[in-house]
Amino acid sequence: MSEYFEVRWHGRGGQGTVTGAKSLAEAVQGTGKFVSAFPDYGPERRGAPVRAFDRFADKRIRVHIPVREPNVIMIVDPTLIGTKALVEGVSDETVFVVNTEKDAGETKQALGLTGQTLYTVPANSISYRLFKREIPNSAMMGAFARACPQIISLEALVRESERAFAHLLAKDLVAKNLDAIRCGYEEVKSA
Amino acid sequence: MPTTKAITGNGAMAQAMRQINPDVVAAFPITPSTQIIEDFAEFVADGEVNTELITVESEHSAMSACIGASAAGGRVMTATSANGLALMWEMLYIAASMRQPVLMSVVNRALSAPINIHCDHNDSMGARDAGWIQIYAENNQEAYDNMIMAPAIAEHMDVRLPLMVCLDGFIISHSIETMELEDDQKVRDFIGQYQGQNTLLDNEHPVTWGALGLHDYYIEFKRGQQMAIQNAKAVIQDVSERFGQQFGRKYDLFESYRLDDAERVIVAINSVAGEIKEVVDALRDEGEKVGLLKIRVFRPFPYAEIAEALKDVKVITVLDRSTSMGAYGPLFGEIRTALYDANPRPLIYNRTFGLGGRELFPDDIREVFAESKRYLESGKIEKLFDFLNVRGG
Repeated sequence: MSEYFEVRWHGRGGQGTVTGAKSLAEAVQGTGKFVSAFPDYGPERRGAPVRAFDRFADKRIRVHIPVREPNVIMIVDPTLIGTKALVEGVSDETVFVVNTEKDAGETKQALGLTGQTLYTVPANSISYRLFKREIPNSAMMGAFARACPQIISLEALVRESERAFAHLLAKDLVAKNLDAIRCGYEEVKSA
Repeated sequence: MPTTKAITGNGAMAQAMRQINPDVVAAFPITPSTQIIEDFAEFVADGEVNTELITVESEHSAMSACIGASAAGGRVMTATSANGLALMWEMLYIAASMRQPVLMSVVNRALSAPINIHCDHNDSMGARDAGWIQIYAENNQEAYDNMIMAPAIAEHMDVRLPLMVCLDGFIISHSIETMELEDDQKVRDFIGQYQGQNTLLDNEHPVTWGALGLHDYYIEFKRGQQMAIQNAKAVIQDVSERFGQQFGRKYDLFESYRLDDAERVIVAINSVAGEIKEVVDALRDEGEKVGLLKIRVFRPFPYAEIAEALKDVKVITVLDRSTSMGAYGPLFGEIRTALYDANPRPLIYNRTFGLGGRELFPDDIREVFAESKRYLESGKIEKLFDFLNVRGG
């Protein structure tokens, strides 16, 4: 259903992948788009591969099925690279955003990609720097804004996330997450 | 002014409960409806509602407490799913027979075994004979809207029956979707105050509830219940009309999607209707005369209205997301009954799908329409009943 802009997230239970997909949807919703976001439902197990999905559109979204041909693939945990699930439904136009310290070209090769655009972001380092632990999703959201400015600008992402986080987090954590978004955006490399 | 929000189905149901602000909620949370009660417990703790929240030790107790609180004169709500609904069974019938307008979200989920937490409709379909009004929802917005309409329907003096609003587990309950959340005061004005009848706490007028009724009176009670739930049809239409005027979203007993001049139609319930609409649009663009009839009110079942809506259709595929073991699907039975007197009678057949959360993709729905095209051309049904997307089929 190509009239929707579709994102598929891959991570492991406990990394905040589902929260990342939902937070991104809330931010994009704030810009006036219709959104949906949902996980690949199942028993929640720390460390097990999880998927989450976003759909964005200018009209009401009617489908609820998992995304099969994503416009963007967000890889939150690079240790998943090598599993088939990551590249299912990929076309030449699919854009990858990968949380890794490694070189973008090398990552592209590891995923077996050829023509596609791939962005890397050291989201774990950013997260350790700011939170002293591994919560990469805010940095991943920042990298998404860099990869897909047609969906959301950095400015709008920061503004809308601040609004959404304010309901959930203490003030200092809101500020740190906004920093993580900005760092994620800034530290993107591409191949 | 409504607020546009990206919110989960469970979150939307909790918001509806907050706005309804019931006197009593008795609940025992169960996946995938847990978040409704978790969110609502926060509203109670934060003082956003005046509700007495009773945390009971089982779903049977939850419904028992709801019945007691309702008989005492309160507006009462709860939420459950699957095995939780099954454990309420005995009390579901008692709530309906005692004419208590208890309101409940049912987040549809498969029944064990094997253990499964995903969506199908066997839970609420099994409860279809319990005497509850059943209203189904395609998405978050409809689930919320149905719950906002629920008090005015259930508490209407021509009805006075319990009502369940059903939505798909995980697919809707755990999905964030953009929706309109209406203004608190506007919703409260729409719902109005609840006035209990012959309440237990009215000491000036002592009454008996749950009396014995044997061969002398039992059947009159049942006939009364049957009349009340039949009355609900007109009340649902009135309340839906009033809701449309107030909030701008139109609802009827069912939704007719591109049924005008349709030759082949799918009849279905809940979230799969979204995928079917996409496929109907695509096939219409290709010149095929296809459509969808989406059930909203399953109890009372609108036989005559559905027969009228489908009278010019040639082939009907009824999709059941539940099974009645040893029988055809529950929805198929109703649709076929509704069309028995149609002249000419359309071809009608039944497909079971989606049990335990198995997805039905747009390609699968295209297959369904391809099959119905064959039947239209040959004028005969090859297979009356079958499963879709199943191994060994």
